[in-house]
Amino acid sequence: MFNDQADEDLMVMYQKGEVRAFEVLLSRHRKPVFNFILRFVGDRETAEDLLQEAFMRVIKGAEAYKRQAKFTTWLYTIARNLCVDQTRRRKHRKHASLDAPMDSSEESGTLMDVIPGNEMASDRKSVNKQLHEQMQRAIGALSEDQREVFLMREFLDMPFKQIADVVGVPENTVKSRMRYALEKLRLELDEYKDLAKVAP
Amino acid sequence: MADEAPDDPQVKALRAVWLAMRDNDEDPPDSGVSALMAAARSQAMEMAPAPWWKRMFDQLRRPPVLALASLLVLIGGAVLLTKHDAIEKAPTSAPVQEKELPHSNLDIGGAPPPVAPATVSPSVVPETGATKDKQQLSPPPVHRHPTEHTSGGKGIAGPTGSVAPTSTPRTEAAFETDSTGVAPRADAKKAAALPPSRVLVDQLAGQARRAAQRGDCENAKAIATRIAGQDATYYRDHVAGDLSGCVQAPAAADKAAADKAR
Repeated sequence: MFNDQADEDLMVMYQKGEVRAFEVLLSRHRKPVFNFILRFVGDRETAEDLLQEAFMRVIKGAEAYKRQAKFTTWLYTIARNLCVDQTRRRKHRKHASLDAPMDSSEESGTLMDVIPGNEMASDRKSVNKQLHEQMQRAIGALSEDQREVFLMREFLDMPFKQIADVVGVPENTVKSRMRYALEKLRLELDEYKDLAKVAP
Repeated sequence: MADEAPDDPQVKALRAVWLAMRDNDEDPPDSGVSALMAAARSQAMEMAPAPWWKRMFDQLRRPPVLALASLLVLIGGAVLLTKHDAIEKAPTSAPVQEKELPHSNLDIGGAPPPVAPATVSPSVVPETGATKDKQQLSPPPVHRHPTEHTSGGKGIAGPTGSVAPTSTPRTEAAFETDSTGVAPRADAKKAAALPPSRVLVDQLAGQARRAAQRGDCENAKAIATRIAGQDATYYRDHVAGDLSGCVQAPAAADKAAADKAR
């Protein structure tokens, strides 16, 4: 019964005291929100904390929720704001990131390259893994504005209009940020273009 | 994806990579789910609709409802106070009205006696030396009773142009003013001191006199008969003489009509 309901209907049911409705919402959105946060902040432990905090805010704000608002827009606005706050805090602390270059020169490697790992295998799985890691690194290198737009568009399949609502900027600005993000990714991953072509 | 250079083969290849990354999405740990559900349950209890009586109570506690209730209490209080004042005023005029009621049907033939404000005021004004002089200057009424007088005298025009009786006996004035609800205290006390039968007879005598003044002799005689039934001595001493004027009135009218015809 609850699984067929739209998010907004479930939220209204939860407002009337139906806990099962919230349970369905949680099971439906927990995983995509977690992966969005994880790709945004790049840290699993932080992502777990932020995921918990995001749904706590949904619970606390449920009473004020209006049926007219799209639930995912509201949910990802909360998640995005938490991520932005977190990255700003992290900038102040100046923690060293595993993905960050060790020195300012572009040729230098990353911490991830130094940490001993499996030797690059010649099989497709290894190629894919390497590509994914490089892609993750390139996404992490995007500016905050471009990263959030890119993640919502390419990983959550959100329309530009909804992204604009979540981020709080005009739709054209979102499209512009998306264009710059793609261009930057293309340049960052230029050396892997041959690998990308053979990847499934 | 018109804004994202879809024809670029490199972007297409990269998109294939991140689309493949989506398949490798990680599952979040289940450790926080129980805490979330506990919070959700407590919030749901807070959000659940309250019983009807609680909702109604909450509605009643709203400022507009409280303001309306206060207004109603104020209006109700004002109405009660007004009624209370009316009840307090009632005893001063009610006994007289009640006494007038039994024989008021005797006045059916004529209009109620005109009670102009000017006729009321002299009785309200306390008796001073000036008023005593005025009474001495005016034609002396035929006094058969210390508190009564013949009502055949013509009125004199007052300062306002209204016709006022030349001399208003205190008792009659007291009754007249009582009927309007404005009774002077001294007269009221005096009337209260008289026995009830005497008050009634006085009142009847006043009505008989007024009827005689109007020329309504039938009523005047009927009232006089009633007075005689109540107190024969009083009738003989104070009322019988007044009725002779009533008998004369039609004769005078006939004489006037004959003069006109000539």
